[in-house]
Amino acid sequence: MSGLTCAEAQTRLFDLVDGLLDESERALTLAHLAGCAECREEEGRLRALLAEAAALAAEVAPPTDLWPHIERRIRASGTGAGWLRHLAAAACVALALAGVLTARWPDGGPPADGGAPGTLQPAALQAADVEQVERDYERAASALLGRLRARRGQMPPETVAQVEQSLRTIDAALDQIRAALRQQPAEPALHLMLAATHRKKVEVLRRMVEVGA
Amino acid sequence: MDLEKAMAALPPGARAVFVLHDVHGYKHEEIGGMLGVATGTCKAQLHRARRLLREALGR
Repeated sequence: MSGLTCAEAQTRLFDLVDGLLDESERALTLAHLAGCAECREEEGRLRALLAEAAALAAEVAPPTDLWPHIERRIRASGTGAGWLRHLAAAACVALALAGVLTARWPDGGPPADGGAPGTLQPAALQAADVEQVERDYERAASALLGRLRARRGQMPPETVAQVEQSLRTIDAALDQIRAALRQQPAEPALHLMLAATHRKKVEVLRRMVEVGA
Repeated sequence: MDLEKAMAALPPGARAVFVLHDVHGYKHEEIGGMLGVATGTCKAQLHRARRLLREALGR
């Protein structure tokens, strides 16, 4: 059996750390690593990067208490619910990206003012509450946005651009969820998504106000 | 440069897959389903993200 070259071993590192190599490929790769300090170092750096990424989950997590529920709904809905799957993707990406963005700022806790309904529990939402929740969140977002705009000139343009991009993504997800709610007003997964997405928007704005303060 | 900054600079597709897979632990099949892309595409985007991050971070 001939061994792998360094280049061959390194192209297999991603699959190795993800546990995706079949047994023979894995054995070949491990054999190379055992005899090559340089490739072992590569592997160590890769694993360190992934450990650092995984550690971010606690800080930037989308509302993981909601996602298992939403995923179950999507699976239970079967193939006829492509719209729901699509929405979940839009909302999930919006939340994940907003999470990445907000993770870059120190967490000083939410400001006492602003009137944001930060303690709302989306799981408790009823269909009749949706309009009120929307109004509460929009009011909070609008107040925070006003404060942010007043300080816009003091913030790095790159940061302003990233925040605006993030807000556009979140607003697009909100529009899609609202459209779906008009068709399926009693769908609990949509209520959860709506509240979680609103919450993330307010959180993004709130963190920005704190940073710009 | 720190990891969060490097992640923010990734192309959107690669960033979304990296965040979902390596930060939040979703599987390729799940991400493919959520984003409406093939599992192979998802994997390619993840590898691209990791390569770009390692370059950006110099490690």
